[in-house]
Amino acid sequence: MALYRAHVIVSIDSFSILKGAIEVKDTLIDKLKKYKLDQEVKVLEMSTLGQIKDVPVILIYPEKVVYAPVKVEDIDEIVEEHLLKGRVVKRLIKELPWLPKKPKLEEARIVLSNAGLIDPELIEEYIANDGYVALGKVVKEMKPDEVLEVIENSNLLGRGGAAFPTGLKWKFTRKAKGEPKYIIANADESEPGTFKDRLILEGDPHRIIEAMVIAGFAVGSHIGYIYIRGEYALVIERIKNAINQAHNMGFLGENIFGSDFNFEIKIHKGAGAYVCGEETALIESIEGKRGEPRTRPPYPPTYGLWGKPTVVNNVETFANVPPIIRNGPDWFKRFGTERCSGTKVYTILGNINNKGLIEVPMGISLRDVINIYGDGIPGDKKFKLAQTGGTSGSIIPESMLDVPMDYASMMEAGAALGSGALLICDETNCIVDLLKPLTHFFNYESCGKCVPCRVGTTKIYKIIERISRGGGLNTDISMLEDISKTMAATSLCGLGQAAAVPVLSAIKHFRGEIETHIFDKICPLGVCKI
Amino acid sequence: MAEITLIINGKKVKGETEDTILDVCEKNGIDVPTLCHFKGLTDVGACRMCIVEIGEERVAINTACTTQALDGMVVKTDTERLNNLRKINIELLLAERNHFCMFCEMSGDCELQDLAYRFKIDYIRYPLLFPKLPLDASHKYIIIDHNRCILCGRCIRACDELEANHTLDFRERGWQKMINIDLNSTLRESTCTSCGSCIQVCPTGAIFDKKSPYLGRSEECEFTKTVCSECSVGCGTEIVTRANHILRINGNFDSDVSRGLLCDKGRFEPLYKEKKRYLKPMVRVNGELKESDWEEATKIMVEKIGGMDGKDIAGLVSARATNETIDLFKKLINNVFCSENIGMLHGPITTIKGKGSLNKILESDLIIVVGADFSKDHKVVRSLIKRAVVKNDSSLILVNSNANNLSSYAKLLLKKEELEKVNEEISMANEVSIIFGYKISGDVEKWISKYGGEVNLIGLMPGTNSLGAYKLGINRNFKPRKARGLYILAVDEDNDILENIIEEAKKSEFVVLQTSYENVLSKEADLIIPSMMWAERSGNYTNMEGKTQEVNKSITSPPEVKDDREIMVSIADKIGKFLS
Repeated sequence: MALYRAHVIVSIDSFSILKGAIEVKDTLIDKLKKYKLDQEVKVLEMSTLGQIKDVPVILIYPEKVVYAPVKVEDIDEIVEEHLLKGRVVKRLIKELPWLPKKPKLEEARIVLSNAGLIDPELIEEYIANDGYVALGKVVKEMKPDEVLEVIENSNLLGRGGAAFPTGLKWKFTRKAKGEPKYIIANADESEPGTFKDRLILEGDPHRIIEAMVIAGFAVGSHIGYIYIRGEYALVIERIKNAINQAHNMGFLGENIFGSDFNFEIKIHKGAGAYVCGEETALIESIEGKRGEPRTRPPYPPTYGLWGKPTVVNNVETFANVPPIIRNGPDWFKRFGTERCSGTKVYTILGNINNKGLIEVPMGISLRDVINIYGDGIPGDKKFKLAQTGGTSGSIIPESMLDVPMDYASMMEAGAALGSGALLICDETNCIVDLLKPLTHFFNYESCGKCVPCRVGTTKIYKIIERISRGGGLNTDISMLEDISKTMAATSLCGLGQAAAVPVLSAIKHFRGEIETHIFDKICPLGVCKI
Repeated sequence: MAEITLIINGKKVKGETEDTILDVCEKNGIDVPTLCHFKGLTDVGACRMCIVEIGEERVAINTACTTQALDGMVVKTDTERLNNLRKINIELLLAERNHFCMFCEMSGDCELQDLAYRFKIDYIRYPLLFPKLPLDASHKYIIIDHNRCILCGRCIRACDELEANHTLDFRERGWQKMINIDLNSTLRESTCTSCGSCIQVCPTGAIFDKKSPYLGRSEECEFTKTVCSECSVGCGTEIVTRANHILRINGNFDSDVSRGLLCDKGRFEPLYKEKKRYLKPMVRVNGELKESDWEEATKIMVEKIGGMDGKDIAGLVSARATNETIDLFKKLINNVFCSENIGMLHGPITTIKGKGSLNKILESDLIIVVGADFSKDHKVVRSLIKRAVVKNDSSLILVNSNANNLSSYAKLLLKKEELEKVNEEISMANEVSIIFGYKISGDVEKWISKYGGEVNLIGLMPGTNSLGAYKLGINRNFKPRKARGLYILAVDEDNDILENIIEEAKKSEFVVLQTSYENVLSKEADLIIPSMMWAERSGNYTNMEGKTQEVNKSITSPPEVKDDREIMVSIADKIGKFLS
């Protein structure tokens, strides 16, 4: 094996590719050849570390120096100064949020432990980082019931937003009558502002494959589907490659690890409907039907894909499984709060200095996330509100900034954690202006199956839109409340139920501001064009 | 099924294990408002009208139509909160598209309007959008007005589950969602089979037929349950009439034969036939047909036919006549005119008879269709076969059949000579249905008779009541034997059947034609006696399964038109013989 004196890691993920990461990598390789350094320096392709603002990122080992954002023009300097002469290019150095300034609150990376640090296209690198150890342990040493027990004891809750105990879901599916059973990984991540699943899958695809096989073993299933959002081209490519590699290594297919357990994984591409992220609509979509949710009960563990018992879990939930199996449920419970174990991956965006992906233990307050990981709000402006959980999340005013962020505490405070998107708005943002695109999004994405969601989203959008134009009526707020409450109570699936949440929480916390739009026909912040 | 007990609105009520909450409510007379629910179609829970509160401490709201009833469940159907939510949902529906009742055909019969009145909605608060949506009037019988549509999906489910044709579905999503016809085609150019089930299940004025709009609300109409007289399936129908006019023919969802399904021939065509009706007896004088009266007509009849020898008289009867009429006609020809020469207009039926049942087609895993033609009639049988193939994964083998777009559903298409290939398939299958047509040859009959006892055997009949006539003893081949006097009881038979008789009629000296309408035989007839049409008759039909079903008259006949039986009795009276 060749020995290199330095390793250069270039982040290749969807964001970076758009910003020219591939060109950067190609130029780098060319330059190294030109300086005849290609035998000494190895260029590696990795996924992202969670950085989305200043990309492409280059990480150089052994110095552990991070350069970002790197342009093609900078390559000459990096190669000449750093790699040839050994002098760090100070002007390009970037400090990353996962190396926080205040070391008290360290990021705890369970889900993202490999993302950005291993080559996602090489199974060997995953194996070198304890990959497929959990699967081997499960298949060789454990009984399905023992696996279920470990997952149940770990107190792992579903990370898709509904926070249903994963162990319980698997147990129900195992007990349900019907063959064959199915495992589905929900990677149809279409919540605006959420991109955690994409980065997990781009950075560490084998982890999900391993977790799905473990789930299959525990539940008694032999077929798994990964339902990937169609726009995630790189994810699809990497998952395909990972499935092939796992097949070749004997971690997928027949007689896994030489046992008599078989498992196959199929890929299903989504076609762009937001509602297909809802588990029953996703199942309908795999079956080739219109992506519309089913009525429940029965739930997927008893009546899922093709009417058979089915486990549908979010990608992030699956990503927690191998480390839990490796280290045991007690290790996992050390992270997070008593009621919600483990970590949560958040995507922070909006008016914040450090946009991107972080993984922190459950129970950290939003204030800490903003000030420490997000590095504060740009321009020293005041915090106004945050929306947690993507478009369908609740709007949180400053008074709720110290609520510990875990599923149970958030729910008690009348908010929802949802998918983990954190949209931060400062004092210059108008609440009506924020609601307009949110309600338009639901108006566009409602599948139209049930009345409250189909008509309600349209009416809410029309009302918000006229308020923002200065055409609001005196009764508009009570109308919004009526429709939203009806949607929340009677909608068929989570889309309609959650579509009401931002509107209701905005009215609850920022009623005065909306009323000024309606009665005084002015936007106090001068954002809405009245 | 075991019995379960639920507490609904504080009262203990009983249901069965497979029931939904709505089923239990219906069984116990508890009224829950519904809109997208239609008995006989799958429930989808789209309209959210039937929401109920389930549970005591943790109350969950869910739809009664889709939630399975469990033993000990505590359910509330009529709380203030529920009614408020229902009211807002109806209000939203009313604000979605154009629901101005005063211009709507269904005003008065509309389920959405009923709910609006029930929840006392007199004003719509929400912004009205009035999207300008298309109206599809391209079809011969059906109009779809998307402006009135509430997207409940009943028509789609009826198209898919009853007719198994899936012409209708949804397109787009959210507020742009629309009923879609094939791949965005018009109804005329689509794969629509014109069964009309969508009209019947539509709760609003979005889908309606072209014949009956604005002619009467259901409270002004009368509804008569009867049996379709167009073919031997014997589908249950409900005739909607107002002031002695037929407005519409509906399928009867309580019928065990068709369960609500009809075809275009049964639902629309009878209303679109434009033929000249005979209202008075007609007598041929100097080669011209002249209006006459009953006195003269019976006199001529007795003189001409009554005077002939029994050997010279022949009688022909239509299979559209009821069992009672056919029986009396046979007695008239045999006993009064002393002739044995009596036959059916449709000709003889096959020697083997099906003893199976239509509903068993749905349970069969192998369906074999031999020598059948579904292009003109028996289309409901075709729908049942399609449903079995599409919904229950049955395999279909077509042998020498003109199955009118059924071939794309078939696993094998065989010629008559390849019939033996089917034997192996039959031996592998559990439940087999064999459906055969009425024009099959002797060797095919022989092949079918091999399986006579073991399979669900269904034989299509050439005419509506052919099996009834056969059971009454009329099936021998009609032999004119130079019949001098020919008595044809044609009732409202169509021309394509009567055409076969023209040659015989020309040869006869005196032809009596008892018919409702002017037809191809009118030119040959020497005496025409007006007869009742299908909606005016009552009696019984025996369908191809051998089920005898009641035919009820839905309108009264014109004053001068008499009942066929009454006419025959009075002819016998004139001759001086008693006919009961």
